Amino acid sequence: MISVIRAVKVFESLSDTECAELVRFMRIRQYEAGATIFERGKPGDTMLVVADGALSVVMPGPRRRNIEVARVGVGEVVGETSCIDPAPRSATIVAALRTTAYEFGRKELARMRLLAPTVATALVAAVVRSVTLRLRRVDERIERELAGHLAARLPELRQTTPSTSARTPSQRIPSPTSSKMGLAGPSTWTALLGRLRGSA
Amino acid sequence: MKASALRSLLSGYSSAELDQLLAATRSRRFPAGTWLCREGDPGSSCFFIATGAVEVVKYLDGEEHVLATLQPGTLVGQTALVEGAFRSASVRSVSATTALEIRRRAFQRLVQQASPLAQHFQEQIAVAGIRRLRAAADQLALVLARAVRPSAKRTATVDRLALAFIQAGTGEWDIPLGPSAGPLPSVRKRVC
Repeated sequence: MISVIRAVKVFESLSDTECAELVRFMRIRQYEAGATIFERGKPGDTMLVVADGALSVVMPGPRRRNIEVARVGVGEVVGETSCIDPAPRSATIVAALRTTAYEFGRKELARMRLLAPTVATALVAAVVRSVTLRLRRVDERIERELAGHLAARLPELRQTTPSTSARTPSQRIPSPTSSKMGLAGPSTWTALLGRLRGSA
Repeated sequence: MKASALRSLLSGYSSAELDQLLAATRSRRFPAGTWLCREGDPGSSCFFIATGAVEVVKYLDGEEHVLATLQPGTLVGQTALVEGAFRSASVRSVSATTALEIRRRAFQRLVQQASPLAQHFQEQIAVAGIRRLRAAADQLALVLARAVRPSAKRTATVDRLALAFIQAGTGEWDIPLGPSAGPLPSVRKRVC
């Protein structure tokens, strides 16, 4: 069991001892092939580490059929951010094969904070590291995409009179869950998208 | 800066915890118009705004964009508490501002002790990062969906798939978002 946890990329900063401790707080779950494990939109506060078998991440596609958008295999994890910040599941996950997984959730994290506090902070730190890396990649991708758009449309944009200020949202853009902490972010992208739409 | 002065700004911490937090931080003063940090710099501290106000600023195509104005009680620059992060934006004081600076080493020492304060603080930082990631994923999905406009008919499906892929890549699990060959990554059409 420990070797599976040890192999999870998100947990690579945890020591062997910390992995062994983490395992003690996990539950073994078995799923038959085809079983629905997470449902898109439903509240979730647990993560799963695949020990055997595989999970399918599915989304509704055209003609009312499900499309597999990703496969989660042995040694991979889903839902690790939900342990720390519970949120509606972003996609439906079904067992592609008969699967064994280790479950760990917000309740287990709370217990671990009391019983093994240094492991709890190591785990949260590991997730934060992973989230920070992913955030940087997404931000870079957004900038690349928008730079591509703007470069293509710059002559048109320069001709129109920009009446929107950088802070005016032009349409209903999904806004981040408000939080007293941390940077707000999207108003620049909102403005850029507004300018693109205005010139389209 | 006294613990009692912070109490109104920081909810959920006990007096003992606030004292501990103060011990791990340094009080800084920023006159109006001065920079707390600059975009692209390797940051190693975050700032808790105690009085005054700051602006988060980004430069795009040489133009300055103010992304947000932050009031007392806000934490800014917390990704610097994680190794190897660069400042994703600049932060400038709008009016005379005092801030508590928390340096990465002090934060890591605090976290190693795993005290209730450290856990509480670390969780707030984690939640802020997670929510930013989710918001960024939404934004990217929108940008990609807009990029793919072959015809009006495809848009709804493409929107959903783009959103799915991006949510998939950045929400719950890790799918590498490499340089785009096209706006929409390939989707395995396995029907379940």
